[in-house]
Amino acid sequence: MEITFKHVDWAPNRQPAILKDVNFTIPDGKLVVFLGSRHSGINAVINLIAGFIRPNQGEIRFDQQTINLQPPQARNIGFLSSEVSLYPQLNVFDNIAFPLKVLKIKKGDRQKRVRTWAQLVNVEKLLKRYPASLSPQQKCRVALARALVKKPDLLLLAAPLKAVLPTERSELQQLILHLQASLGITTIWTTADQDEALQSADLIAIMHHGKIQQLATPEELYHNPQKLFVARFLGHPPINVLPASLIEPAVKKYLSQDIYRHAEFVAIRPEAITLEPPDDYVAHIKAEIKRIDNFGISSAAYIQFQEQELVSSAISDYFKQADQLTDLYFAAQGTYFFDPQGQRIAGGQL
Amino acid sequence: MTKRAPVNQKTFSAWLALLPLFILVVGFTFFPLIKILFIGLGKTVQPFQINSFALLAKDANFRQALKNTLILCLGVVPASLVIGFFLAWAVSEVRLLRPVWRTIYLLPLASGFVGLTILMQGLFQFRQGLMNEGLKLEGWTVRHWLQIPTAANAAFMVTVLIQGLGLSFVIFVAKIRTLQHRQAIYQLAAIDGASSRQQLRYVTLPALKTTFWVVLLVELMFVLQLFDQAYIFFNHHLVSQHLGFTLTYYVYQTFWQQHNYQLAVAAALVLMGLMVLGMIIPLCCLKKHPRNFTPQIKAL
Repeated sequence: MEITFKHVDWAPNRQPAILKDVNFTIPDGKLVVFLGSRHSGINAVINLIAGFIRPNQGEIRFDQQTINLQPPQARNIGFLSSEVSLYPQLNVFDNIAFPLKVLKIKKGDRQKRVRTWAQLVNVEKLLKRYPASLSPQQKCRVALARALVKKPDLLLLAAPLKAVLPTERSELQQLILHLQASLGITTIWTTADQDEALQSADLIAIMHHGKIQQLATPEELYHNPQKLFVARFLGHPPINVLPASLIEPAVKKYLSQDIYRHAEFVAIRPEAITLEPPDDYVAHIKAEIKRIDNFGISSAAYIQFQEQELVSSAISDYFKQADQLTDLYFAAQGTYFFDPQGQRIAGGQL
Repeated sequence: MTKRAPVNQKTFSAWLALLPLFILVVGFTFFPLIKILFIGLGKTVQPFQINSFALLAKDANFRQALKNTLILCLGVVPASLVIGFFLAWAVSEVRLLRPVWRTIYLLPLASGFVGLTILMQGLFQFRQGLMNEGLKLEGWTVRHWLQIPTAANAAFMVTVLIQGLGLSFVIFVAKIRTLQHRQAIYQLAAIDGASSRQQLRYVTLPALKTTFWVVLLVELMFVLQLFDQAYIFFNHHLVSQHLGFTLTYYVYQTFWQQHNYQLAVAAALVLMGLMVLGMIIPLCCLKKHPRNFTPQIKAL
């Protein structure tokens, strides 16, 4: 199912707007992650799609059909949230069977489908247990079966792995991705965890202050951020941001001088700071490596450049010596220039 | 870092905190109970024996009182449960003037039993009773409602129901409010396809199971202890001819008016047995809450 938002605004009663002129289209069968902080508007997007709230303005479409006023019951959506995903008074079997029961599916068929789904998510031994006695990971598995058992057209996952232990997340994430790919179901996933987003998504929508900052594939977002916010939001260690004026003398002459008139910030990915000049580099500076941290397979160097501290990351043993002035290069692939509004004006692929 | 109090010291503090209430309960509840037994066994009156219950069973007044009490229990308690729940649910669903509706249904509880009984009695009075005044306006025949046994009994039952309703209403409202705070569970049900009626049936009602038993218990105790209302509603001397002649009233009558201590003590014990039964059955019917998940920490 294709989901479209056209100029959607939403504000709670007498309060400032949470969503402002949100526009996007999610193609059928894709897994899209809405990435942002709790107050960025990602929850409002999920709630609008689910039908828990209605837009103040704009249009929400499912496959070209406007569904602004449609109640949640009529939308055929599977829903999984970290907050409440199961009915505490029902055991696992009844929890999975609940959507089928309210849809008045016959008992025999209901039992068959519940057992099939319990097997698929590996909870067939927990069918008589109650949610209070399940671990967060088991709850998530049951909730996933509950969400998918009625064959929904759309799957909404509101921070589904938030409550799950970090050591168990990967396995669950793989299960969700496997089921999503097998069913080919359009899926919307919200999270504040960029690793989760980068590993799972076909497309990522980064939200901030009620607006989509950029909607693109994970690679596109990382290598071609359209806004400074997006560049800052993605990446470990985070991107280095400097005032553009600071590196102006160090910038290679062939870059258009026009860029510097408008450039306010320059952002350099940690892996784009190198010791040897790459084939294509933007700037060459002399700076002092203050500290080197080795993490086995990789290492990070903390560099003092004028008043600013930069971080560079590379494979282990790439940086040899600390506490000395070193020549450093900013590779073109990974260095971006932004105007005072945080809009990219150079670097990457415009 | 603050030092933790040893367990024994904690237990001692807890006992110390419980002591005043314990003294009050022993002094004003258990002591009178034991005293009753001693009165029954005292030398001045015929000793209390097991055959007191046989005498009690033969007493037509006792049988009538027991029957009336059971009728009131069966008539008032389920009605109070059902009506109390639906009123609480409806008031919680209505947004317009919600506090006003709550106050209206809470009034029977706040106004006091005696006052409300007098008010209800006034409704059915022959002269200037609201019921007869209404009938007069319509040109219908007025009656001595409180002298017609069926009508008087029905009016008494309604009075008791209204008084009990306030309590069941307020308990249900409190629980439903906590449920509504958990909006996510209703959103989940809605997206799973449950209509409002199905949400009531599958989400609200199961979540209120414990509350139903609590209200049942409270209402049962209320009806089993009915006395003031009957005394006032039937003007004291008419009680024995009506539904207000309950077990509590029978104990009062045999003890204070007929001075038949033996029967009074036996009847009081029957009443207490009924109350204990009323308390035990709901507690036994409540399923144990499923065990909470505790993560297994493996030994290093």
